[in-house]
Amino acid sequence: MKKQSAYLKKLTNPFRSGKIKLPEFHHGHHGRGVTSKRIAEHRGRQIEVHTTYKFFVDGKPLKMHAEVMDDGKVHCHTLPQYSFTSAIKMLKRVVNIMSIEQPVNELKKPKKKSHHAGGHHDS
Amino acid sequence: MTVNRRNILNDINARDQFLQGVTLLDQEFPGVSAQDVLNFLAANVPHMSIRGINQQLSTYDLFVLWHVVAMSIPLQVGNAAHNGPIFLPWHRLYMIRLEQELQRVLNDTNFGLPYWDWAADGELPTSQQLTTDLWTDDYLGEARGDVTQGQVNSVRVRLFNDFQNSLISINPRPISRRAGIDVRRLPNKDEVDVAVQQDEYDVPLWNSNVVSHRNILEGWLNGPALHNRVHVWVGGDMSPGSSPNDPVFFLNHCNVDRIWEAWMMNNARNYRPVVGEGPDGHRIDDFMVAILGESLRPQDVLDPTQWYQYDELDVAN
Repeated sequence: MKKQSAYLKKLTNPFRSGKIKLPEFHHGHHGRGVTSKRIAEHRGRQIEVHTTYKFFVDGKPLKMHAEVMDDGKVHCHTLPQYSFTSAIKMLKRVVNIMSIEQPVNELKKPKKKSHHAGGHHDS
Repeated sequence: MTVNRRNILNDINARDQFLQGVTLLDQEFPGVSAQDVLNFLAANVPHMSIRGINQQLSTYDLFVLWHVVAMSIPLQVGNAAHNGPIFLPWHRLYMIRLEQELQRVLNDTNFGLPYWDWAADGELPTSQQLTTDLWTDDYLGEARGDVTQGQVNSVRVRLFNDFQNSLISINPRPISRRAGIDVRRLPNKDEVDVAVQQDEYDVPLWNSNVVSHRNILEGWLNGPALHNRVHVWVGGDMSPGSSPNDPVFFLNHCNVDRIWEAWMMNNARNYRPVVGEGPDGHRIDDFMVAILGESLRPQDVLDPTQWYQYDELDVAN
């Protein structure tokens, strides 16, 4: 029992020490999903299509990563296995799946502002 | 120690141990609360957050959290767990860690994760795919609705993915499914065969549009296909990034890993992008996002035989 408890303490240490080691490139880019960039080559020329989305539900902006695939389907990270023939269909599905559970918020944001090396906001 | 991973429909012992182990991990509370998770996210992944009730989280919940965190970290291509070459090695690492935790709570170092050969069920008529043994009380319980019967009826969902790629800590509730509604049928053996016949593990531009073993197996081409299709077919809690809430997640991914392993055996365990090519976070020597246990690189997991082997690698026709 004691051995198990020591093991679990070690396993969950990141939640007490507050830090895990994430490579630098894992930080930032979290605004990237708002603009989707498609690149292709055709007859020796490089084609780029940049698509920018602004999502709103009940007038409130939704920060959601979305990208357009080469076949024109839209994909968002919130539903990692789905792709949709339109962004409207995607948002309808997001609302269907996500709007069910909204408990009262009991959690308090940490007072101390954290600094994370290498991170940047590009939105 | 090398353990054997077996077909859940052919091995009652593997089935019972898996379902018992999941239940034990779901009832084990290692002293991490939702508030601890909020503090952790603020320090490590500040673009993510969690709201809702403050409650103790189980070891199983922390695996759910790990998956959501990894998929919420965007890279130049895809994210730290999906939509790129890292998809297969990251899930291999993730399942090795779950297998180790199941071995611990079961007190059995011989335990190996079982897999669900969904392509075999995909050969059945569509109407019969919902009524196989897997969706009975002896296995995973109901294919549609709340799972209130069977061996995982006590497993509770406490973390749920919200709109904005963050988490909600909810009042604990049963697992929910809506199998066969969003797509009617499972993938079949012919579709697996296309993935296995590919010459390249992955190719530039390394994304959801390329023709490669990884991208076909992940299920983006003519999607939802293969792995993606199984998530969409089960539906309910298998839909959002918190999909590991449903233990069928691990049966699906164990089979995906088995198909990759079948490909690896015939393709000299090749992996791309190698050192110096491709996007950050997907290369063979990039450390993968890990919350529970040590991180590894793709090159560390290409040969899994130090941990496990499959009883059967005849995955297609």
